[in-house]
Amino acid sequence: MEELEKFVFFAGKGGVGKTTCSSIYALKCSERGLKTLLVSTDPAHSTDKILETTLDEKEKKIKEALWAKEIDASKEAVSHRKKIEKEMKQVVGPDMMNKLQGYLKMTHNSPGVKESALLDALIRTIKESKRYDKVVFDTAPTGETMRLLQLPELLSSWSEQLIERRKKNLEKLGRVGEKSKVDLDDDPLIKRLKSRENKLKFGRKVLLNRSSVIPVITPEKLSMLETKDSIKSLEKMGVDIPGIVLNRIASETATEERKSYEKKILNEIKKNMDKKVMGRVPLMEEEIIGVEKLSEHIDELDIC
Amino acid sequence: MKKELMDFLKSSLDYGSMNEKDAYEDQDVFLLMCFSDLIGVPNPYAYYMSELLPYIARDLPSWQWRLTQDKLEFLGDAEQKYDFHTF
Repeated sequence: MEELEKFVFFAGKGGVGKTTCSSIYALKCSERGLKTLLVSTDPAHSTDKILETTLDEKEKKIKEALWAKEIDASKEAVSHRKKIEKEMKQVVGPDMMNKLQGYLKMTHNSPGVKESALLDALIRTIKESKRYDKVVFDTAPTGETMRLLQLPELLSSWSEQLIERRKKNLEKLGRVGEKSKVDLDDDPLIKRLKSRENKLKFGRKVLLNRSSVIPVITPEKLSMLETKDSIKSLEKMGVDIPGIVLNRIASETATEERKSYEKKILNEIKKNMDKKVMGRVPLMEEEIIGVEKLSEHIDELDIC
Repeated sequence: MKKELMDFLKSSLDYGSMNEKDAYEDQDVFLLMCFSDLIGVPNPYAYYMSELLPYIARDLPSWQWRLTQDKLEFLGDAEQKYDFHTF
């Protein structure tokens, strides 16, 4: 039984079984006495369907030692925009306010906003998770996961540059006399930039030092190849990937052709991916839905 | 001592407008990095940069003017053609 970090992310392309595997894992942790929080970040919110309940931003008790909640990136983006509008109302007149509101709506609807908002919600969840021993995420497909992890890196250096520029800028204006008392530490703009940078740095620290990312793979060539690439790029960024979980393994009732094809793929996985297989969830006749059915698969995961 | 004297003379003869221009240019570049999409250049960090709006909102109209009228004259009448947000 391999012990994972406090924050566990299940990665993999869409439809591969991250929701199922993360739910089984969360159940397993709670049964071992760990206070567990399962977080659904999937826009499709399949965790609701798998747990047969409705989730929202408030943590809901599912059973003993297990809570669940969902992060909605769109809602996060809206509250982010509203907060800025509130601050702006105190500084600008109604005419300017109208124009800026239009601009804000545009920035908060462009592509890439979902990732930024999701990252903010993720960081907040992590910050507020002191009471839990384990926090499990069913992250969205690998591409987004990668970008989420890269953002802190890019933004950190971005805001460092901005702060340097702003400092130079204020120094010059100080000589000019537009702002007679130039105190860099008190400048609200720099404060805001610093807090944004710290937030992202914190997120990055947790993601790189206190997290385990577990890719979920189905015994298919495409699944294996795609996951292999994303594992490489994730590890390049310093992410810890202790092993993989295989989902939808052929059961006894599968055809001989299927079983032998699968054996071939599993051998390739062993050869190509230098990763320990930490779980084997079989393909069932019916989908695994409901806490009872999920519990039946707890022993198929070798992680806690 | 000589250096201090030279510095003093230099700064006393410093034309305010020269430093002002320098300072504004720096601020213009800063605002350009944060709010380039206000003059039609897409900015992938717009979501995070928008958090700074309350602090620089009042500087935006003059900034835009300096960028479009002051230096980049060809952008002057591009307002109709491109996706600008003007204040």
